[in-house]
Amino acid sequence: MKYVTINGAVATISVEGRFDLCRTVEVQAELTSAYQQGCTKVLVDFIRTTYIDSSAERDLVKTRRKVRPENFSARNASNLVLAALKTAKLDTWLKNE
Amino acid sequence: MREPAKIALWVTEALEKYEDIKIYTANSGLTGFVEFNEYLPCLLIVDNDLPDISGMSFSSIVKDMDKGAYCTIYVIGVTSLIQNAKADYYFSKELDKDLFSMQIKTFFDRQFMKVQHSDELVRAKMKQSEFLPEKLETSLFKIDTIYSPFGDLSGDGIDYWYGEDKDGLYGLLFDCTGHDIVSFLQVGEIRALLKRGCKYFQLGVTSSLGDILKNANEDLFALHGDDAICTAAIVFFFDFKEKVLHYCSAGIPSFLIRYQGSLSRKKILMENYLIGYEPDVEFEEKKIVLEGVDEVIFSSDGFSELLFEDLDKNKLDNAKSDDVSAILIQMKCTENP
Repeated sequence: MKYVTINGAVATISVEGRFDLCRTVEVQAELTSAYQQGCTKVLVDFIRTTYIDSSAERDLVKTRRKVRPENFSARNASNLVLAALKTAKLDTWLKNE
Repeated sequence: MREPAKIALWVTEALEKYEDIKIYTANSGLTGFVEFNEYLPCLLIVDNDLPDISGMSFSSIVKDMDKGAYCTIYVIGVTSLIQNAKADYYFSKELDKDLFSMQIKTFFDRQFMKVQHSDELVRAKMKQSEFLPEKLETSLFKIDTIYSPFGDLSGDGIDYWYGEDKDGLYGLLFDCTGHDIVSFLQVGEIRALLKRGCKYFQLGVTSSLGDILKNANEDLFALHGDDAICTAAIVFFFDFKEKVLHYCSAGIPSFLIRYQGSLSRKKILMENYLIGYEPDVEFEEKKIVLEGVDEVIFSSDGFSELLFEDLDKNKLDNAKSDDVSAILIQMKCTENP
C-alpha cells in the first residue's frame, strides 16, 4: 500500500505532498483494505504532507466518524496543512500531540 | 531500445499507481486488429511505422469499427498527416518522455474519475446547470460566476439573488464531497437547506447569518444522524443601505476583496466548523464595511488554491484538482474610504 501502513490495530495515513481529491480515492481504498485486516484505529501523519484541501478534510471527517472519534488522531501538521485544519476547526484532531 | 518497447516501458512506468490496468502489445497491424477485438482497450497507442500497415490507416480502420469509436487513439512517430486519418492525437518522432507520460497519466486519471454515463447522469447534469443563477447587473453591482465541475457533476453549488427591497444582495456558496449521482442528491439537499435559511433571514424570521448555518447543520443531523454529509459553505448579505457586507462561513477558508485603486486583493480569512461535522455548534456572523470596496470574490478552495496570489506558481503541479466555483462581484457604488 502506498499511503496507509498498518501497525497492529492502527492504520497510519501518510500522503506525500498534496492531499487532495485525487488522493482521497486511493487512500479510502487502502483504508478499506486496512479495516479488512483488522485495523480499528486511524492515525493521520501529516509529516510529509504540504497541502490538504477541503475534499481530503471532509474525507477524514468521514473516516473519523467510521472508526469513532476516540480512535482517530492526527499529528505533525504544520504550515499550510495546519492553517487548513484550523480554518475548519479540525486542529482539535492534533490535541493529543 | 526499440521505439515500441521504449514506449511500452514509459506507459508501464506512468501507470504504476493503477493496479488494474492491463497493457497489451502487438508487433504488427494485423496482430493489433486481433488484439483490439479481443480486449477492446480504452486507449490505443499506435506506432505510425508498423511493419504491415501505416499507423494512421490502422487507426482509421479501428475508429470506423463498431467498438472503435469508444477507443482513444494516439499515433506516435508521425512526420506528416495523411488524409482521412481518424486518430485522436498525433505525436511527432521526437517524443518527450515527460510530456508523453503526463499525457498518459492525465488520460487515465480522467478515465478513473469518470462517472459511468447514463441517462440519469445526463439528466442530473442538466438539472445542475438549471440551478445556476443568471448573470445579474444593477446600478449597484455586477455579478459573474465561474462554475467548473471536476468530473461530470459538481459537488459545489452557488446561488444569489437581489432582494425585493432592492437594498440587499443575498447569496450562498457551498462545497460538498463527491462528483457522482449520490453527491448530486446531497448537493440538492444542502442547496435547499441553505436557500431556505437565507429566505427566512431575508424575511426577518431569523436575524443572523449564523442561524442559517446552525439550522442547516441541525437539520442535516436530524435527517441523517451520523451519516450527515460534511459541507463547507458561506452565506452572505450585501446591505447596500448601510454599506456593509455580512458573511458567515462554515469551513470555507477565505474570500477576496479588492479596494479601489489597488491592484492586489486582500484575503479575508475565516474559521468555522464545517456543516455536518458536529451537531451542536454555533456559527459566527462577521461583517465588513463596503466603502471603497471594488470587488468581492467568494469561491470554493478548488478555485482559491489556484490563484497566483495564493500560490508559488513554480510549485503548481496540478492544473485543477477539484470542482471550481466562484462568485465574482464588481461593486459600482462604493466610495473611497
